[in-house]
Amino acid sequence: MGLTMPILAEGSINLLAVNPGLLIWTAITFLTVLVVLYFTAWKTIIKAIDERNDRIEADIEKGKEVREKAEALLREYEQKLNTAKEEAHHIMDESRKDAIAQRDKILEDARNEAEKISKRIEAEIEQAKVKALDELEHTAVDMAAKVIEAVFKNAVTADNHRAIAERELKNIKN
Amino acid sequence: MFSLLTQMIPNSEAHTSPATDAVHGEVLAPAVEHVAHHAEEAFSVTSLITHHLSDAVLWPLQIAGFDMSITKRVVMMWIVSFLMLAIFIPAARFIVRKVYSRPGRFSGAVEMLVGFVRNGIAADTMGKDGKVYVPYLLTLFFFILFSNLLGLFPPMGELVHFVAVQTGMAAPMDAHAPATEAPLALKLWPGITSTGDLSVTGALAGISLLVIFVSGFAFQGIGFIKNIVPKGIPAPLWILMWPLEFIGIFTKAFALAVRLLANMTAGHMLLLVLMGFIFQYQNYGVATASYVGSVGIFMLELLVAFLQAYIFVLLTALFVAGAQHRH
Repeated sequence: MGLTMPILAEGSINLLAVNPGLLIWTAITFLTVLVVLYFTAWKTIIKAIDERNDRIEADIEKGKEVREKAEALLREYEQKLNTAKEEAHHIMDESRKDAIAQRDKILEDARNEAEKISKRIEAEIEQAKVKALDELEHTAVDMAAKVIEAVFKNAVTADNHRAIAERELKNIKN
Repeated sequence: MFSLLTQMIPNSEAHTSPATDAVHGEVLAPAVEHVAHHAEEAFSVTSLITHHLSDAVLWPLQIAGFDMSITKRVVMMWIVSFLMLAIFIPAARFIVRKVYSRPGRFSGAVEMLVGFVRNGIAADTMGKDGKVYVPYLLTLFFFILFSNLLGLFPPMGELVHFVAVQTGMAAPMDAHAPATEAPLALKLWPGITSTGDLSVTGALAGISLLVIFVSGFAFQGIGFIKNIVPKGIPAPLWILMWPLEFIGIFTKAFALAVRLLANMTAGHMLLLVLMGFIFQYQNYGVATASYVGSVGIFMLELLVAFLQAYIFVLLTALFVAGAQHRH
């Protein structure tokens, strides 16, 4: 490994021989590369990858959160929807009941009214009947009085009183 | 391994032929002729391996009387460093600019590798405490990975020089001349595995060792030195075990260095031997078998390059994690 080593070396090689100059050059070269790359490459690459990893992690975390929130919202809406459905059913039932009650009431009222009307009519008829009978009675009495008067005004004989009565009756009838 | 032919012709006279500087197999026939012609200087697999696995000084340099020469491995390390800067600085910009959008192929690949070191190594071994070590582990991982991979890559300098010689723009080189006198193209991209040397892997393991000690003291204070022995050990045993555990720390680091070195060297040696057979036997049957075998081994080496970088960094992280808490 001397200075005069020809391009075509002869002899043997000693694998365990150490060349101190080469050793020092190695250390210098390696450490220089380490320092230069530390500031120009490794630091930036590691920082960039770290930042990206952090961001991806944060994104995943956020995604999970958003999903949970969405699921909670969905549950809430489903619950609300169910409640609304129940309420609607309830309202419909209630309205049906109300309608039925209303109908029944209307029918009842109508029936009552009809009954009332028919009763009133009956009463009126009764009243008219009573009045008519009353009038008829009065008329009959008047007629009787007139007949009696007429009878007493003419000399009543056995022959004519029959004719007189018939004539008077005829008058009344007319 | 991509300059097999240049070594096959050890004779300077051979360089008068353009075929002698051939890098690839397309000029096999004339080269073979030359070898046959210079039968007295037979092709040697040993010298081939020695040449490819040995470091060589390209630019001698003395600093305060200390040999700090720029060798082939130093240049390759600088190419590795340059590639790392050229890849990761723009990648960082891309990633930062489009951090929240779908990553492109380039930044996506970088992000994946960074994530692999960060999560698969640092976080898995040290948990939250691993964060501080990520830049170091990333640099270590890519430094080793790129060094390993570039060792499998053809030496660009040699290819450029070959083209230059073919077009008459450069003079053929003298294979026996010292590497310091090699053409500039060859010096600029000499093509060698930096991690195939104990000096390099040792320096990296030494830095790992330093990190282990620093984090041990940072997390456990001075007690770290006492706490290297597991809890609940009786005093007499403790006295026996402490030196073992203490030496163990260094052994682990040494093993790191040797494991990487051995893996890188063994694979390359196997490739060189397989390809060397072609020139040794000069037989179509052997050549075919060698070719198929070396393609297979090359694929395996690609995997090993990645695997060894991973193992080095993973073990470093594990040792650091071990130093942080008493076990």
